[in-house]
Amino acid sequence: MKLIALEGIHFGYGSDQSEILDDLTLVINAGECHCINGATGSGKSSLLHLMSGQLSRPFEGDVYRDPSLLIGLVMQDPNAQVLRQNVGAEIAFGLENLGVAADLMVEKVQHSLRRVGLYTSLDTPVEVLSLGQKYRLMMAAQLVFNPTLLLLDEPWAQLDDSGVKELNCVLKSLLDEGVAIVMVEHNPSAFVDLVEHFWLLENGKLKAGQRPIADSAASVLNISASVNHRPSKVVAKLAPHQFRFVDQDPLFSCLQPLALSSGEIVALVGDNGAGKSSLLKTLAGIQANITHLPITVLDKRPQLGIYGADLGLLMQRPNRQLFEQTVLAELQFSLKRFKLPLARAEQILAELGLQDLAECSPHKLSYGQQHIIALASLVCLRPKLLLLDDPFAGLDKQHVVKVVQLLLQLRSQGSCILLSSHRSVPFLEVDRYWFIDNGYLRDGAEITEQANVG
Amino acid sequence: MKSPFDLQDALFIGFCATLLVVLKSMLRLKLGLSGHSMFLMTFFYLICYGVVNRVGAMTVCGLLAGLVAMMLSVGKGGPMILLKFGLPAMAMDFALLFMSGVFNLRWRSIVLALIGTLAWAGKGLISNLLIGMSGQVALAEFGLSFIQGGMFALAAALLIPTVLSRLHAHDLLPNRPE
Repeated sequence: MKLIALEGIHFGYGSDQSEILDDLTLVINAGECHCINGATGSGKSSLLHLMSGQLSRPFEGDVYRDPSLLIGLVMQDPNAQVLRQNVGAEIAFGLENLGVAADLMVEKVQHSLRRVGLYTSLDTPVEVLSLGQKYRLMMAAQLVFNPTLLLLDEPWAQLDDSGVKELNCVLKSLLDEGVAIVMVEHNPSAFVDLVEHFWLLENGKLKAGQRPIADSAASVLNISASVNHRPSKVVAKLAPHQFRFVDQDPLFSCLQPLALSSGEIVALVGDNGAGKSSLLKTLAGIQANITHLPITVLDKRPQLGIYGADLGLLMQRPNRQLFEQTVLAELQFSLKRFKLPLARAEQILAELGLQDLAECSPHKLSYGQQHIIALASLVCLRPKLLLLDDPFAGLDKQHVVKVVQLLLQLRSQGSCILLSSHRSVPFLEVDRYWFIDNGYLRDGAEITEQANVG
Repeated sequence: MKSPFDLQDALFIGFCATLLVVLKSMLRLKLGLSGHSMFLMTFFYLICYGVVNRVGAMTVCGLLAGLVAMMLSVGKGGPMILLKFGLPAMAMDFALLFMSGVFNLRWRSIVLALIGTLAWAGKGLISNLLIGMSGQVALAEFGLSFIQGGMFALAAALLIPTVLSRLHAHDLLPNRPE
């Protein structure tokens, strides 16, 4: 049964820009799973918004929607669609709008939460959830009203490995029930067993894509550092501590002293909600409501505004740190502030091949493009310590390669980089891993040594 | 055919009108400077015009603000408060009919702001004449009000292009303001 059909769709973000969807045609039938891949900023998320009827801008072409069509959409940035203050109310929002009786809601909401592997109380405030947990929450909020078509934007980037595994199970059961799924994904190999139709969105058109080989994402990228480096000066020290918010249970414990040295890249890996973002914000001195911790960064206790250009933090939601009217002005803002050469802005855009975005508004770019612009604005400062919260989210392989090269170059210049991720980053030559696992923060080297001894 | 105002426009006009009255009542500026109310009024009317981009937006905003102010008893005018808010907006909209596309946004904002001030000061002139003030004194009062109000209106008008280009950069305006 045909659920939705797009025919001859033309869409663009302005008369001065080329169309991002150009004569696009797509038919989705019940029980089908489609996966759309494409370069960062190629219009994948816009296509999902168009299908869901959320696009406020005019477009040309015909859209057929079956009367039985009920669409659930999980956006790339789940914060953009959070409406209520606690978990239960957020999931029940769709049910309220569909007129479901209140006494039936609790059971449906709890079932939906369990289905996505989010084991939390219904009264939990949404603001305390991590980004990955919010993604699961939004999944639950869509699944609760049994949509006939589920649209997912970049689930792999936002979920940890167990989340991806759980999502695979949920999607399989949905497909068995006849629900159609359309996902936009840079790493389709994570869902290769489910997807029947692979598409590549290129030049505004959908072209039949090739079935990816499982776990190909990492193997395609083979980048190595061109310059040998040697970590030297310690830039951050973490004495053993329990990381906790005020009046709350510990998020994790750090039993051994840890340190970050200049000229090294350390990857902080942990599941959704493990405390990665909170640790990075603490190192930057911007995490509120945290107990006093024995941490020093650049020989000072972390505090907002004391490091200047010596410390950079890339947030998980890049739009939180973009404010200028053009990409070039965004990159030049901090350079001007710290009296650094403005030419670095154009130089870094050229290195990333993003010169054509220089005069674009950073607020109108895709999630992935915003991520790379926010990162570039920090890299051009050449800080002594660069903290990156999930820097590869929303980036296609070409952009990942460019970002990796940028980070390696920065390391060779003596910067220390601490980046967080849900999983290991095989495409980047990191010096060490820090793992947050089962409530403990450990140095990866220590874990490897223990395994070897064992 | 597209309706003159869609829901988004109506919500924005309502937002501007309410914010104008709320700010005016909350701040209750006792600056001792005549005409400072023209700053907020001009700013919100011109923002309304820039965002909605339709003739009539400022009038609707002005009348709505007057109604809200009347209901909330903001200001000292009683029912005349409707005229106080509405008259400058109507004058600006009327002027817009003759100057659409003539100047660039900055100059259009300045001219509209001065016309709004003229209407605002004109309302004072008529009130003064009605209560029996001599024509000479009323005219002098009118001139003074126009100069003082005009300065505040001018300051607000100069902000408009920057604010609108920021709104456009944040994808809140479909077309670049010109």
